[in-house]
Amino acid sequence: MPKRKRKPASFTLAAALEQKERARKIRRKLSFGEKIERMERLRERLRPLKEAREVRRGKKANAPSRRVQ
Amino acid sequence: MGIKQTLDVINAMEKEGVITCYAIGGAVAAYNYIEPAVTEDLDVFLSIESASGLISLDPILSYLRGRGYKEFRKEGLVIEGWAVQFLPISDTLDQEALERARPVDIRANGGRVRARVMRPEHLVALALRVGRPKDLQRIGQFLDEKAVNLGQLRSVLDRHQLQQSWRSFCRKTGRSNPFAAK
Repeated sequence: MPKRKRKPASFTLAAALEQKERARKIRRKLSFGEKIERMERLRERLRPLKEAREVRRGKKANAPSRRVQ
Repeated sequence: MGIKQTLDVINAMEKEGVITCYAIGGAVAAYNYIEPAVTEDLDVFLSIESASGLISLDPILSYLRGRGYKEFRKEGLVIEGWAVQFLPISDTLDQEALERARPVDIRANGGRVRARVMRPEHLVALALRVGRPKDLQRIGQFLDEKAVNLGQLRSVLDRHQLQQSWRSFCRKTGRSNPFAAK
């Protein structure tokens, strides 16, 4: 069976902004506890990225200077 | 591990007399009123009574150390996943914000916990005083989402001599000053 070519998804800026506003409205309606729980989950998801950034920064700070004396 | 467990520990400290009174401020308190923004730490404002006049967090830290909470993340002590910053009140604005904080029931992490949360007008005034870009952005959110009572905010700003900072905030962010004389 021939492989069907997937049409690349494209959005207009207006559609993206509209979607963003819709998500914002949903987030605003959440209760205090739900907002905090979402933030806790987000923080857990971001943790590996943050740790990788810290390692990168550490390496950069410890790297010998390239400047010729 | 989560906010409920963190606040349970802080409430136990209050019950056992390690701290007298506390209120949540900063970004987490703002979640009660506006769309949430990512934050790492939980700001806990508290009043510490000291006979000598010197304010020390030692009793709090040694209490928590005794319960196994020893890890620091940035300026906060990690309690059940949250880096908690204990901020002793330092001026009349802090004091008023602490005194007028409201008790709120928080349903999270499969349970319910009660904590005192600062009012929006005080959160805006405190953010204005700190004045970092993210604080100014948060003030903008309070205004855009109509989450702050402008009359009450004005009184807070007047009482704590923050009108000039407010005018500067309006100028920097290109907003018209709602308190400007017409």
